[in-house]
Amino acid sequence: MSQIILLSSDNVEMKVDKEVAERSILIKNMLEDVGETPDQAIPIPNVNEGVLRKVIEWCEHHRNDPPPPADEDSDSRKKSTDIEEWDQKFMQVDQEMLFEIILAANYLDIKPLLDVGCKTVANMIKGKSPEEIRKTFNIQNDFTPEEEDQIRRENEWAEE
Amino acid sequence: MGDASSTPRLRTRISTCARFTLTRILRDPPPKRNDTPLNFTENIPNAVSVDGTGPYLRVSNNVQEQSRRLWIVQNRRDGSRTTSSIRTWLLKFRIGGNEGQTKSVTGPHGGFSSIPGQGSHAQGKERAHGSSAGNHRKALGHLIPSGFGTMLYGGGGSRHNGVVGTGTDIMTVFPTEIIAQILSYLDHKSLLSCELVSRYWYSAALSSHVWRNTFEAEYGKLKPSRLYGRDWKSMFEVKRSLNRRWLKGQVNPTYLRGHSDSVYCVQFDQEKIITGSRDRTVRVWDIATGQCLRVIGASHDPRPGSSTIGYHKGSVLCLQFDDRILVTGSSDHTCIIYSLPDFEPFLTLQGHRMGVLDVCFDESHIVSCSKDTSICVWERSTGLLLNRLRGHEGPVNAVQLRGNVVASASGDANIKIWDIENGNCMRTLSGHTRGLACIQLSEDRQTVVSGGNDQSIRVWDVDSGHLRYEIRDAHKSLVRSLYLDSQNERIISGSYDQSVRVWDLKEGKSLLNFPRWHGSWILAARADDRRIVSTSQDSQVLVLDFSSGIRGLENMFPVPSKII
Repeated sequence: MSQIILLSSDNVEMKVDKEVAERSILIKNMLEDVGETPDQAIPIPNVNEGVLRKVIEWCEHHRNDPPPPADEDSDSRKKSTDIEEWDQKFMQVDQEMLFEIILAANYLDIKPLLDVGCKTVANMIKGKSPEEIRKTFNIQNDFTPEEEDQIRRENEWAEE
Repeated sequence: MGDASSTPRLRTRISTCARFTLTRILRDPPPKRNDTPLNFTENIPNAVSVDGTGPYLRVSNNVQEQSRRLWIVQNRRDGSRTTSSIRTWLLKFRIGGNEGQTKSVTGPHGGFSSIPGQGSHAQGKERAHGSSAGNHRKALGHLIPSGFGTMLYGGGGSRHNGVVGTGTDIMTVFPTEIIAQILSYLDHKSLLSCELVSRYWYSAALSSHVWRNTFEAEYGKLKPSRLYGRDWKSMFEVKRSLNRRWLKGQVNPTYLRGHSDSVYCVQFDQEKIITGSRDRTVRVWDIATGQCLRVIGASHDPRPGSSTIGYHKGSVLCLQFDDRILVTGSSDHTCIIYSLPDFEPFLTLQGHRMGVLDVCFDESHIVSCSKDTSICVWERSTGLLLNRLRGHEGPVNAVQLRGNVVASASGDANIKIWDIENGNCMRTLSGHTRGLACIQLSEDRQTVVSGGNDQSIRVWDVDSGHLRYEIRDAHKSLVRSLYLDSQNERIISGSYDQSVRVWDLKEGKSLLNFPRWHGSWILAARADDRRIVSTSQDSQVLVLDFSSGIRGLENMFPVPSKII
């Protein structure tokens, strides 16, 4: 099994099976274009060691998954926020790390991981009141009471 | 910053955060829906990069660590293009010497203003957005500078002053497309909660892109052929209001009077209703006003004798129309095809030896069935008789065509499923105890709904031929008409017992009953998202409108530009 070396933003080298690294479409395309240079590390300038290790862990676990459907609008993706058990556990990290994983998945173009990450955040929002959402994400309410009233009136249709 | 300017491919843009900008609500009423401050579909391609090829930079304020990070964010909407430029960028990295880029940008605040192509004020931002920002621009104009500065120069931390907690606002962490993806997993109640969180959240949660997903998750995908509006939040509201009206049976009735005898058949769309009658005429009605726009028949010919085809010499028993043609079937044994929108008869189909009881067509075929027990398959473009399907032992009262499948219902109490290509009967569904009057075949060709003289409605599985369920005593008399609305999972039935009823498709549960809204037998009833239209022996057409007075209807059902 051929291996490649990834270089995190904080200059830590990591040896990874090529097959695993190619869960990242970015890396896959790059390897296709430039060919393999086994001894030279591929810099991943936006992802630090901790996050990169986490992402690789996910890729390892999902190395044999079938490719995601090409259709951007496929139903399965949008409709459910269900997350498989292993991924749920994997995502049990602090908020900081969760967000970093999502950004890394977006940057590295690992769509299934991005989906799982976004679903996890969606689940943090789902069913919550505005105040609960503010608490969760440490947000200050910058509306005036009048503005809040206005929005509530606008959305009264949902209350009937 | 010299590095960045020396690599023109790396056009930089500061985070999309600033685009979740303050909206007009401070000074003006909330923006109208079709004026949504943030429109993902329109803005993303421009926002991602100035020249559409390069990645863009974003700054993330991390409250916890009070540090800033820089990200190269990829345009996911055009993966190949952007990937290649990042690849280029990565290659540069591998070649070496450019590591300085990241460091220089994560440097002191002042550094940002010198990023090429990136104005640190509203003007530069607007240029970058391009013209697609539309009338949103005005709103941005006076509000961006403060918001932008806040994001960029470290005010991000101060926004959180006084809030106890360890979380980070996702609006400051993620680019627009990730925010959109997160929100699109939410149900409508959660989305409405999001609107009230803060101004950034308000803008993001109003996105039509997000609401479209929420709409489709709740109500299913809409047929792409229809011209829906683009305001999916408003459409969600409309659909929800409509569904509640359907639950409660809250309708606004209108009677259309004009025919002088039984009205046998009807079809309608968002602009018109077309009916056929025993008075030998076809009438076209404006669905919005109820006005009769046109009468088609011998006694109403605007230029008598000019038409070589002529008009029906008997009752108009059945009809179907699309954008281009109207086909009618008559007790005079013929079908007539009219061109639309002028309703000029141009072809007669002659082949039945008795009255034509039902007719339907698609892009290539016209199928008619008759009291003479046969079904005729005609070529739509030429009117050529392609095939005659024989097998029923009684009059064929109803027929429906979906793809290459024809379903027919006969007075012999049997349903037959035919292959239109070779004319073979693939299956016979038996079970009804008396003659059948009506049949519906679902668009996916999986389901048949039938009704007739035994007063029951039966729902069949086409592939297995098994009865899925039966609604016994659905009516107190003959079930004369059925309409299957798969999208809304409803069955509409009309009966000689003078009632129109609505049933749930899944289990056959009774949903609504409109008894005696007509003074005589119901002969036809059809429905769409917002109306039921029924016709009767009492010469009247009844429109039951579930949608009157609902706010934002025009977003779901755009007003057509012209009728006929």
